[in-house]
Amino acid sequence: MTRKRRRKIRKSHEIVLGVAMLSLVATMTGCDDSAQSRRCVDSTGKVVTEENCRQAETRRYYGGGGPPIFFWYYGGGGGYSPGSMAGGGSYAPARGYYGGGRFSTSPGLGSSGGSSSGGSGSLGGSVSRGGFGGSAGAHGGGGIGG
Amino acid sequence: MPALMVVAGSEDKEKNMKRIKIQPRENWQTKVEASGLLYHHNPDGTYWNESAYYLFNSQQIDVLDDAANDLDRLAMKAVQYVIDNNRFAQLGIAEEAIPLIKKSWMKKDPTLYGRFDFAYDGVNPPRMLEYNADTPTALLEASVIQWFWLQEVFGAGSDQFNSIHEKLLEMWPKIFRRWEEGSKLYLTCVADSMEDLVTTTYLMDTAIEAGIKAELIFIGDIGLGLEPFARFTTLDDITIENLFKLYPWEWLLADKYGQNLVQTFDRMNWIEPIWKLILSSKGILPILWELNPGHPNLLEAYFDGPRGMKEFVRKPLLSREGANVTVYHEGKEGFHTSGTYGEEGYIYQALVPIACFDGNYPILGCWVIGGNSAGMGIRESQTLVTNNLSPFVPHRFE
Repeated sequence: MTRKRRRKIRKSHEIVLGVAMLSLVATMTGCDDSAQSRRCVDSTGKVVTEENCRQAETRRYYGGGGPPIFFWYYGGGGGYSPGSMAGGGSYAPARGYYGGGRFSTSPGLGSSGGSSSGGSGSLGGSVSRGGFGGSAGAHGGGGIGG
Repeated sequence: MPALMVVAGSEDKEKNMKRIKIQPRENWQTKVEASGLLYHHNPDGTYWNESAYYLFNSQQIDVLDDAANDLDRLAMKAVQYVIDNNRFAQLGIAEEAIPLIKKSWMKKDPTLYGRFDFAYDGVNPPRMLEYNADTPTALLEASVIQWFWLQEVFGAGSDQFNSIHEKLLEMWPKIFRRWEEGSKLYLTCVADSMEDLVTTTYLMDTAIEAGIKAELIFIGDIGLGLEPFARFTTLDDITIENLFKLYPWEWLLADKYGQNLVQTFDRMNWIEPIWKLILSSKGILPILWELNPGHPNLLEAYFDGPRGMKEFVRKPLLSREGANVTVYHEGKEGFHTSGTYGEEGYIYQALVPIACFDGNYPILGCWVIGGNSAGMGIRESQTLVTNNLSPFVPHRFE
């Protein structure tokens, strides 16, 4: 039987990446000037070239042995050029604004009972947080990967 | 994406789909990152693999397209059957969810998306391994990344089974029309998974492009207010009326706030709707077989045991990422994966021959958007079970 040929090529228009995705990419790849700055440091906090961190990431991806010796360092003070010392920042990026979303600076998971004044449109009253998300941890954490 | 496979395939290799090796693009990592694929590597190595692609002909794509549409239709009938015949317990569905499922189904709460995983060799009918109906991922790579790859490598005249992006843009307004005018869509996922964050961000962008006000909130940041009425809230204590969640329904129900889902249910719109619990359970596989025995796109499957099958797999009703799956050869346990699932019970499904290409076993994830077939993404593995780390390989057809 001859089947009808159905073209599946995109028929409407080109894909244009949305602002939220572009913002997420910029934040996560360190290309967003407005985002928190990051630099690559060694275990003493001395700034090294970013290539060290990229290579460390690659080794980790491929299951390279041994603990990592270079780390991304976010925010804080000190120098940004190789050889200078970093301080006052964090080894994890802050959860901040991007892509139109706003995330709490204190992790919600596991917290509860907090109350807030609320923004425009708030109905007031006490609001607890952290009551969703626990099952992800019970199954090893991370995403759902379906 | 648990998907069972054994080495076999069609004997008519000339008619098979083909796996073709190709030189990856210069700086491909930077290119896919720029489009949002921030997880092109994972602990197993390269996740986005453009050193090869799968080539199909138009007839093969038609077969896959028809199978996805047909199975979606059968799945809808199966939901009605489960409800009418009170088969919830067999599917591992919690009792407190049943009235919500019935209410949601009666209201015809709309579905956005789902993904059928097929074993297919290009010759024999595609066989459905399972249906990722509630929280399917590998979406951005299927919709956007492989399309950009196709355009750059093969040019504007090349073709791919892929209208996922357009169908998402078409579907959001249909969903949104049912909601209160001017209301906002919130999208949520866990905070510690880049893949989930990217998937959710991509879906948020499609909603915004479709004209919907949308905002992300991590699942752990969702608040619960009880005054003046029970409601889930944003960080600004704004009541959430419309929520897309990349987080399984059975986990929502088991979480601390699960007991509040009943109180808030009538004031909220959920995507995916809670009736998807029926389809996301592996228990839907024996139900589908029971209703459609011998269907060419289905595999023999049972609740109560292998019933004489010698080559079969045992899958937990609610497992994800290929966890706790056991493969039986000649009736004896041959291979199993670890995990935290299984207390809820198992189903038994026939092993299906899967074509092998250079030592790789592809599983075809065929997307349905709003109940309509929309495109395909291919994951391949060198092991018996495909999981969430199995590489994604692009495709084209001619």
